[in-house]
Amino acid sequence: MRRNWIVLLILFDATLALAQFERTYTPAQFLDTIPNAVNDSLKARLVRKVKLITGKSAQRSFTKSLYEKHNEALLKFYNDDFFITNDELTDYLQSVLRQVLKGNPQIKDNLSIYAFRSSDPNALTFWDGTIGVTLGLLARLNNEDELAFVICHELGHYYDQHIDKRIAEIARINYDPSIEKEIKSIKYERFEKYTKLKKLFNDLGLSIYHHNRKEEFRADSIGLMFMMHTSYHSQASLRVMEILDSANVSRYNAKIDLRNLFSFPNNPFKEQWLEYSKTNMAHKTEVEEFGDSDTTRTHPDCKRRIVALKNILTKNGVSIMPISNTNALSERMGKRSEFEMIESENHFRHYGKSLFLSLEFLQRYPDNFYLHGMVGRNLAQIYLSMKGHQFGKVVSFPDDRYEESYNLVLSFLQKLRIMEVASLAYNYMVSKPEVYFQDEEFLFSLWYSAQMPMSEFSAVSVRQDYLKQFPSGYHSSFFKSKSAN
Amino acid sequence: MTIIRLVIFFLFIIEIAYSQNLEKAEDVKLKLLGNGAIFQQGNVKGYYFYYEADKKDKKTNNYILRVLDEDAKDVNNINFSKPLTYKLVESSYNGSCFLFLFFDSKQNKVSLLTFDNALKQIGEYEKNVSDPDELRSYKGVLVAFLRDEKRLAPITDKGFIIYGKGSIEAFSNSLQPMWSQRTVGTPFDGFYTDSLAGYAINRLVEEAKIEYYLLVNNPKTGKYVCSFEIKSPVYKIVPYHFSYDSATQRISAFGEYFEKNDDPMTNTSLGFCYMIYDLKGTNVGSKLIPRSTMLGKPLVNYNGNTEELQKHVLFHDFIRTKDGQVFVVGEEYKRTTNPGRILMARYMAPAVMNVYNLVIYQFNASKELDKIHVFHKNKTKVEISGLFMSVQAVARHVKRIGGFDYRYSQEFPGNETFSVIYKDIDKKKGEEVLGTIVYAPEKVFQNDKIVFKRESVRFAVLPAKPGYVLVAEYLTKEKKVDMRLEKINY
Repeated sequence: MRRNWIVLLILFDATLALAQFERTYTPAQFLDTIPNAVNDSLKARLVRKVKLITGKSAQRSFTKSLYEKHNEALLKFYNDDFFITNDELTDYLQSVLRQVLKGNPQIKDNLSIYAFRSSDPNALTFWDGTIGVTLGLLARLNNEDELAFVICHELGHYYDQHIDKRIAEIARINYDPSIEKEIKSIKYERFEKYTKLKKLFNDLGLSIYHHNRKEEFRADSIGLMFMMHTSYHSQASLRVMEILDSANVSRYNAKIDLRNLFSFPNNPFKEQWLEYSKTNMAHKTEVEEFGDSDTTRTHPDCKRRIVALKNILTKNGVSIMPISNTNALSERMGKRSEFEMIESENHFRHYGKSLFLSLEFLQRYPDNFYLHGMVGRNLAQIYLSMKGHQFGKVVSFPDDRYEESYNLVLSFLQKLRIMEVASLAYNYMVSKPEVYFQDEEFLFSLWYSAQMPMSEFSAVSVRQDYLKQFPSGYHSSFFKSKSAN
Repeated sequence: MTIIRLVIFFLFIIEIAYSQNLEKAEDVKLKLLGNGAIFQQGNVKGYYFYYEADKKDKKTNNYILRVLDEDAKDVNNINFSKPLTYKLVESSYNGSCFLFLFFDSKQNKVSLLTFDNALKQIGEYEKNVSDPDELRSYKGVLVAFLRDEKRLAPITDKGFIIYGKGSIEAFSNSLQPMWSQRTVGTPFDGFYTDSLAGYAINRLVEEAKIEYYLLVNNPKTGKYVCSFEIKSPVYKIVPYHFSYDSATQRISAFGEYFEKNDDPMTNTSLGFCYMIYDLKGTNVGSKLIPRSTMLGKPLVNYNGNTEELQKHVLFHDFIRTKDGQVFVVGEEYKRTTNPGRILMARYMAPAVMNVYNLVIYQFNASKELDKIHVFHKNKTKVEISGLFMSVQAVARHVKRIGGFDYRYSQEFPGNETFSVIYKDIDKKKGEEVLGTIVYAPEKVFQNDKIVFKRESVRFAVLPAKPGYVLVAEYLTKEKKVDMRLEKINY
């Protein structure tokens, strides 16, 4: 009875919390460095891993160096704040991981899982079993069952030792005398050295970072087996594949009305800002590079994976009818992930992307102080980047591989002159009602807009106002530090 | 070639990491043979990087041509095999098709290749070059610092016009001949609209005597409209820039005028001039702007102060805006002897060319000199030695080897705004600067600078689409190249 009350309380709390997104949002913390406990744990695991390496001395050293490279990449993701390590998102992910591991005691290792700051729907596994699920994917998942499959799939990679096998294969190839002979022979040839070497390496299929197609299918089937040992609905795996298959399509087709958003009495909208023409040129597909990622672009056709999963489900007598259960908690985590994408893109100085997401979400949450603040903040930071001639690093160009609504915003930003950006950054913020200026996140964003040349109030006064209203606020240590002065 | 020979080492290197076997392969790299912007009527539409991959056999190389769009995003790579001395000279784009002009310096052959928007090849054409002047021109462009980009012109979506000595030829996208026109000399400039194109031709009649003509036709059909010589009964005219006003159906030639018997290569001009023609080739008007009127003009100074200009100005570009104004972009220079050097022989003249500020002459729509704008920058010294030449000839030589700081001009769509890009070095501060001058829609000049710290960075710049520069920074500490399109602030 008591347990029922607790569950009801959590669900009630989650329901209430959903309403919070209508008005504001408090982002997750940025730690800027790897937690000590994690760092110590990784060091210890690396030492244990290295001890297990077999083979001749030179090959062992080389294998060790590959693990060290993997570990360096992982450490960098921690230090660059890609992992969200201390937040309810992480608690949520870990609770689902615990449920999966409970059903699969054969996976004995102590594994970690975190939300990963990226807008691309994706999941990653690292050499030590650390799993990252991107905000972009979390935002698209509908329920815990779907998340469970994502985790199971990543566990499939880990359990089947795909990274270890790949490292071992690279090490073997590196010291393979027949390959060494072939390379030497090519290098001493008079003609077509580059062409032949390129073909040799392409045929080897070497990549230290990317799973190959065979590994993906294998992780799917192992993951599904893990899932069937839990109380989660295994057919959610099919829905996950559908989500990945539509990764490049926006879920929200709301038209962003730039003219309405950025028209001010003292700064009218200019129609030329909306001029947009597409290039006729085709573009070759890019390859993502993001650690060991399950990116849809480097992976087999999701439709084929769906067929394979259906076969396994049917063989095991599991219904393939879609399920549609969702709860307030998973819904809340999805929304939180959406908002956190905006903060993350801003943190990594992708101001154009962060601005676009803010504008897109405003269609659904038109009175949200945080979102409005982020519009102003991103514009102000774009102005400051332009001033420092870093605009090309913070705002992308339109691309036919992006969704149309994003391209329209990018095109708009590319059309703006520097003082027009400053003016929009300032006027957008000061045109908001008084109640906005009592919100912590909006006030923080206002500090950026106050740095615009036409601002009628100083950034110092905004800083002081913030510290007076929110002395222990989320940004108080920033304002007290040198960087704000 | 300063540009992005640095970039090469970070593009296309076989992606192998850290290994004994694999390290052995690392010293097999691509060789960057050339790179540049791809133009369509003076606007940058993309970029190319031309590599030699390896030798296919005794007579043939494997090449890779990498093409980016105007946003510096990859379109595709083209792999092909051609003779060892096959060099890329120039490129063009017409909205639906790319054209690349190659020159084989051993076989003296020009080769054209066309590709569609996805870089699938659609045409190939070759012809031999026998004229010595034309050969010299092709071989010269391969070693020049700044490309002259004067051999190709696009016909929107239909094909291309190829300028050669004594001829103008038009080809379709698949390089089928469309029309051709014999000319008396070598095309060097002109104007283009979809219905009318003008080809400015110079003809060397005898030493120090050059005649200038304009041939006008319909670029799509080749139908002749008119042709005429640009000349004056009283003066010697040297035209630099041509434009066509479709509203008045008048052709303008803008240039300098000299005494009848002067040599433009050695003498200073008497001033600027406009020559106006109708579509029958009749001279219907002219306007002279003597130097004496310029001497009295107050200078509008930016970033510094000066009371008078240096004696010589090398003209880099001529820009006509929609409202009929003409802007002449030039750079001041002066030749001095180098007191530290000993004169080696009678014909060796060790000297220094000092390059000073950028100047822009602003001619209003009434064809009068309105203002002279001076954009101050640090002096650049270029050591020169060689045959004794006139200071003007030396200046042209210095320009060919990249001694001037001017990089390029770019007109914005709508022809109300344009930008001028230049380089500057502040040795005291240890900074290299990319300077941008913009004639804004408010009809004022704005001068902005992108600063690079010399000890950590080397940089190169390529022309970019209007409002941008393509900057490639080589970060010496990090040993990496950062290439991006950067917005010009104005």
